[in-house]
Amino acid sequence: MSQPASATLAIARSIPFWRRFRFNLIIFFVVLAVVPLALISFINISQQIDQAQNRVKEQLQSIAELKTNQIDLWLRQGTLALDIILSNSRFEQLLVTRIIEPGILSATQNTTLTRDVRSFVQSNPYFREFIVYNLEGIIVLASNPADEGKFVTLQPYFTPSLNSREYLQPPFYDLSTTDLTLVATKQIANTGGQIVGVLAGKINLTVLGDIMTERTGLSDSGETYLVSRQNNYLLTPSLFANYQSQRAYRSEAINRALQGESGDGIYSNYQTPAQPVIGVYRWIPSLEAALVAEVNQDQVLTGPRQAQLNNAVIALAVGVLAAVGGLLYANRLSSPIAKLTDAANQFSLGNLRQRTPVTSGNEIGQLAQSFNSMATQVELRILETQAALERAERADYADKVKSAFLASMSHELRTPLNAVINFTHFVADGDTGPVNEEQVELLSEVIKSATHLLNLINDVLDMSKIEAGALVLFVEEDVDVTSLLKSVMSTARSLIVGKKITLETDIAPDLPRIRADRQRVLQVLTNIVSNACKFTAAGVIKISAKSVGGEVIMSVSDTGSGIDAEDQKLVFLPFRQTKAGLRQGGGTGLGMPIAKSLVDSHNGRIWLESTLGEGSTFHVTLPVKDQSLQPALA
Amino acid sequence: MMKPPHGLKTFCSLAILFLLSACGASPAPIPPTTSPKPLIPLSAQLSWEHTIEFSGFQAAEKEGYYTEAGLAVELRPAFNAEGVIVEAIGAVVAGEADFGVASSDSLMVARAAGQPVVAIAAIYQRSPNALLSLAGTGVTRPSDLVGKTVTVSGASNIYLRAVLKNTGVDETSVNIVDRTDFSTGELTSGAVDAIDAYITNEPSTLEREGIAYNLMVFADFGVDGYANIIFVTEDTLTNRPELVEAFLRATFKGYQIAVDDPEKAATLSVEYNPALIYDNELTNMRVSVPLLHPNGSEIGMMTPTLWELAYTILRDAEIVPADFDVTEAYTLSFLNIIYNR
Repeated sequence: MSQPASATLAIARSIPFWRRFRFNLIIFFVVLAVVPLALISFINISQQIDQAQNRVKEQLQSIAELKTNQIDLWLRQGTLALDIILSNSRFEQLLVTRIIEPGILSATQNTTLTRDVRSFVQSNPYFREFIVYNLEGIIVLASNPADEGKFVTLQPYFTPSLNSREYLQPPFYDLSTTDLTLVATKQIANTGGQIVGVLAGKINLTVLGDIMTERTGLSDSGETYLVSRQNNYLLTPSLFANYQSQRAYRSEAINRALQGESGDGIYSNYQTPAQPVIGVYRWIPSLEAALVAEVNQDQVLTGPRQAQLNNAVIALAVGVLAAVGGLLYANRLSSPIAKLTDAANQFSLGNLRQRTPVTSGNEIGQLAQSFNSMATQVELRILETQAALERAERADYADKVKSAFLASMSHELRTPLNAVINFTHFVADGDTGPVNEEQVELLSEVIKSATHLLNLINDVLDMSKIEAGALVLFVEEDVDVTSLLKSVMSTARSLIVGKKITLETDIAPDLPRIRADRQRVLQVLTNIVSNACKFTAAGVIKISAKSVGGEVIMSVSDTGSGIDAEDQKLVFLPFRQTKAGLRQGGGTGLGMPIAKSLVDSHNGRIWLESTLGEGSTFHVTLPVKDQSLQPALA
Repeated sequence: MMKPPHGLKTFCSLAILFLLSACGASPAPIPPTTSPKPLIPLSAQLSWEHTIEFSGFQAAEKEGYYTEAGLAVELRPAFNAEGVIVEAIGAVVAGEADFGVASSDSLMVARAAGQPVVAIAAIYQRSPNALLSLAGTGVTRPSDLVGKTVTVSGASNIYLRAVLKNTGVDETSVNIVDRTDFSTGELTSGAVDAIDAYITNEPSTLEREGIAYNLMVFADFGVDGYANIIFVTEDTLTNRPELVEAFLRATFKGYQIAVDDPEKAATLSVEYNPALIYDNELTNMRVSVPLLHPNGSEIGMMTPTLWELAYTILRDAEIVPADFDVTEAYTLSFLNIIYNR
């Protein structure tokens, strides 16, 4: 009993935490609360980021558009400026002469030309130098006189400038200045419209730099810049890199734009270490450069990141709440279960009074209730069984004591009684000397009482044997019922001496011999007949017997006092005497119960018919050949 | 006994997967290691000591481009252990070096003299030759040289005469002296009015000394040529073209690095020649960029036009004979292969 109980306890205690309700519920709650939240937050923030990125891209596009327009406008200024210079017909006239026939110009005229060309540079910061070259590519006039006489034949703009009226040379390297140079050219024609030379202006890139570095609504991390196709060098200063530090600037956007593409994207910029940026890029053909407008991604993501942080905090809070909720709920669920488990363990350890509190109306409450009522039932049964066992044990003990007592009684009482009876007979018979009438009468009383006492003892002994189931039948095969009845008749005759009773018999002549214990059957019949004699003052006692269908029916009827209906029930119960019996006195009240027990043990029946004041009839039937009767030990 | 819902497990693992995938980035695949092959030993005879001029060679070696190409290239400065200058054409013809660096003039002269050398690529695609004068002396253009003393060395002599000729200045009116002092001392001391120079070399020295100067770049006066071409023998050209191509590709890659990042190039040059001054080299590199990688060109590129011009100058100066075939002095085949022309 105790072995499985402690094993159950051990199992109950060793449930690993991850299988416990509490842990599972907490996880379940947290996951249930946090995952949808995280999912929603993720989607929400993705959308926010998308929106923010799109917003920024749109902004950058419009800035790029603006810058492109500004650049176009700025470049057109150059051509326009050249037009204006050449629209001065006096100047142009002199210029043509300087190109075609420099020898015919006066010193004054040459000085005027030089002064004019210099004043153009001074009055027009757009250009840093003007040169005029002839069709052979030799500079005939320059705002910087040192350049006069130089050859432009190997310069990239030379051939195009001869082939079109006006030309803009994208940034290139001029050997004498290592900076990238931008040149606008315009052909010079004589009065006959014949091209004689070219006016070229080297454009000052400072203004372009100003255009590009102007923020125009860009945030602090934003910038626009131009990267030349020439070695991927910056054409205009970058806000975040040293313009003077010539080096190649590369990024996905720059590379794409330099391949002539336009677009936008999220990529790493040119910086070292590279910064994640959102940018738009386009190819500016006139400058052979990539225009890039970009802002640091961090700037764009600030809002969404803040939201992300907020969401994370909320998710954490919800997670904690969910965990607490899970814990509380788990406690609500598991504490009654734990109590129930404890109660069950206690119960199984033998504490039958153990009950568990019913704290809720839910299924667990129901379970607790069921457990309690089960426990009550089990307790009751066990208590009953225990009581019954105790009773049985006590009864058994008492029975044994009684049997032992009776066994000794039968010996210890019968021996002196027999001695009393026998010696009284000797005395009464006068064997020990003469006795008078009165003495004989008294001695007869002694004998009578002693004999009664002996009978009583025998009856009690029989009864106790019967009750203990220790009665042993000495079954014989051929018991002659007729001779038994005759023996009973003689006993009856002795009992009715002095009474006005007529003894009648009606015994069928063909009574079969039966299988029975001769002595016991005789005892039964004697008992019945004795009773009949006893309770009949005067009248008829009739003994009849017949054989009917494998049974022998024997009946003893009298015309005695009869037994009332109440008492009829008591006749066969031990130690219960009928009112008549009690009145009559004497007797043990065991005769009839013993008779019934003996008949029963022969598988026969015994019953009575009686009317108070008219008499009684006792019937006994016995089977003729009952093979189930075990013969006595040989 | 209540069982936890089975779905819970799946849900949890899904959630965990989801969270993991949110921050997960697959690791970059490890590039397969190439089985080591024995490197082919080659040598390149440079035309001067290590300076920024050879930054491409230096970068190719230091960045491992030669090794990647399966080459073990030995870069030899022009001055040997005894401080004696090693003439690259002689060394290459003698088989002492596989590649050499020389000017287009030297190469044409050598070839005219029957040496089997061929130019395969240019380092500077425009001539860096110039005349250097002090600011304030009024010497800014060729006509200003009349009556002045100019010291020039080697091919600059020819170039200067060509410049004077191109600008219509009588060369006899200029006192042209052979240069023996290769420093800028004669100029700064006022001993001479002008000295010849590379725009990629001397100006930075003067700038550093705080001396203002005028530059007369010969190329601006129609005089041009290749100051440093890479050449090989005809034998190498015929028998080891794949090595030539591999060497050029690696070297060009080195020059691209130098152009991309002049600061890195200057650092490398100083590593090769600790006597150099970083700031000077950086300036020189920046000045070199238009020569190394000019407008619309590629690194190493040569043009028949410039060869023709360079030849014409020599021919006019009667340095090479009139029947000299300049097209045999160079080959564009490697450049065409490398740049898919």
